[in-house]
Amino acid sequence: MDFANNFYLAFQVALEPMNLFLCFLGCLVGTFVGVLPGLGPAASISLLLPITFKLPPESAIIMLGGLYYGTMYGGSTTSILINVPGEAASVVTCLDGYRMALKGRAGPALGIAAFGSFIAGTFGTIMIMILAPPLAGFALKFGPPEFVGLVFLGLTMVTYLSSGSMAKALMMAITGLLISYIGTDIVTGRERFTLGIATIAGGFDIVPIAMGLFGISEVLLNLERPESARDVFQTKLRNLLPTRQDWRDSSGPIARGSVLGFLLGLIPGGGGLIASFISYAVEKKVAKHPETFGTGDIRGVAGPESANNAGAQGAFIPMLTLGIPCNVVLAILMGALMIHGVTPGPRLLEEHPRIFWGVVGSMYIGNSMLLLLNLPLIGMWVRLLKIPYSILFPFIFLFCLIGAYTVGNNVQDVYIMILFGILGYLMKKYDYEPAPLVLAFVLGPMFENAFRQSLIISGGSPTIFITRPIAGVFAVLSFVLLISPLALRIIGKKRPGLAVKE
Amino acid sequence: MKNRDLMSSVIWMVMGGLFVVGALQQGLMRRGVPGPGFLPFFSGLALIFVSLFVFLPALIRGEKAEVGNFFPERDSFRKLLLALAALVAFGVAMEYAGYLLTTFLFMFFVVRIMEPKGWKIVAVLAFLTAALSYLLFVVLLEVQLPRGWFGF
Repeated sequence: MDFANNFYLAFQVALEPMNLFLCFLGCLVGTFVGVLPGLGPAASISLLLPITFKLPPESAIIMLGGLYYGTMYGGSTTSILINVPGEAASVVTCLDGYRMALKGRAGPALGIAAFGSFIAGTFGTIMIMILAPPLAGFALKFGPPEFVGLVFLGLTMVTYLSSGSMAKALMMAITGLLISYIGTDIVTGRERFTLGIATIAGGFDIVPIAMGLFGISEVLLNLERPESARDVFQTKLRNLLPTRQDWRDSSGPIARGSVLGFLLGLIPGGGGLIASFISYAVEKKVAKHPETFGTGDIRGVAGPESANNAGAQGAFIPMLTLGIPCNVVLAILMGALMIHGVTPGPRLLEEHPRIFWGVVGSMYIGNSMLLLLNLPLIGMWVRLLKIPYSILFPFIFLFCLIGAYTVGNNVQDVYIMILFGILGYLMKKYDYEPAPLVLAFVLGPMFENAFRQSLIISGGSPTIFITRPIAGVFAVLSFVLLISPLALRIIGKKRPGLAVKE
Repeated sequence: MKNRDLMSSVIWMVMGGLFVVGALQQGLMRRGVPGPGFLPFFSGLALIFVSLFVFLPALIRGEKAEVGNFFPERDSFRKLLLALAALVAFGVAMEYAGYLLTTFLFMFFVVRIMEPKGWKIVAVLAFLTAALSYLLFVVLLEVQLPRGWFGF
């Protein structure tokens, strides 16, 4: 009966007219963002962030959630039509999707990407309904030492799965922690590292940091490059519906992609990008004729596109049940919830069932909306690709400026965003990834709080992090991940994050 | 110091060092349990330590040749500075001139400077952007944006 009740609540909240509209708005903007290269989901949340302050928290997260998984749908369109991934998670879709378009099969490629995404997204949502409640129940048993272990493991995974140098990713995670210490110490109430600047006495806010590192810095990097002419594939898009044979070929990849993507989505640092790469590799491995991959094989579109959507859905579980955001977008989403005074974590399900189940319900609806938005309206999105970047970027700037200002009605936040924009620009020039920094920054206060509470419990003995069974498992796993790059180098293999880069 | 890894890792080490010093001033322990400086101290040390994994290989390789120029085009630095100036100017001007006027000027300036286009088209675009975003954010959503001298 419990399941039925939850299901009822989920749709009761999600079907409220306001929420229905906001879900649609999120999906619409998400597709828009997904289609346009150079505008990522992290920056785009800023587009809608000012709106969320006026909304109840469940409506805010329904809309931002729709935006997030909507980008996964839209990202495939540009990969297939112009060989430019609209989103990082759609990079592999270029390999076979664009080839299919060259062969005059752009329609079925777009079709299977949308249907695969829909199936995988729905699968992911069902899995959230099944898995989240027991997981949250389990996490309720966690004390401070377990949370320290969990956050530490999460951060280690993010650095392990990062696509560049692991040392650099680790440095960024530590920097994120250091930035999170700036402000007032929660235990003693003393100001730390603020250099007497009043604006940051309460610490930095996630929104200006994320917008600077992801929005402003992206634009700055794009500005220096000459605008490459975008060759929009000139073809009549007919027959969006895949043929019977296409379905026969794609059903396996979609099923495998859904499961794989969902599982990888659960891991911090995993999510869409890695899921799509691994799905492609898996499909190539199980195929009878792998040589057709890269020449326009529909399986190379169906698998990865399903995987990145299932991954986007799966990534909600750790945030909603453990309070651990798996990627930057969810970190901002978590920040948005915290602005409303709602802290995601094991107690969310008990204390705010409307938020939890409302979001889940909206995912079913959002996935259906996205299917409708992406298939019949594909022509409209293709036309959007003709907007030149010189017109687009001032808008990205403007929305970042408004977003940063409205977080605290404070112009200082605008300057902080610009500073982080410069930092993000330099970081990318020097091959440092901003994602671990932002995640560590969000998790920092929780980590420090749990860390200090643990040591108060143990009377100052650090063995508490190893001797408690669950915390001990987390500690061992983190340790293995930290030293494994060295071990892998000795036996001459690569870690998965690096493999993605190549 | 031509090597980018060498330079950047030194900067991160200095930052780690600053936090270590700051943390020591805060005090590491308080009544037998970690105080406000405890985690910052060890995080700072960890940053220095991990930076060595970037610093030392770069030092040993000792690459002199750079992989490409820092700026891809001769024009890049000018564009970068102008973009940053525009962003800062937006922040400063908004408090005095109000959202509407600032946004109009910002859009006009940014579109025009970056990609020279006819000023009439740009003016219309800037006006529409300012007016529509004002309508959306201030009138419909009642977001608080600075009103400035003229009250809008």
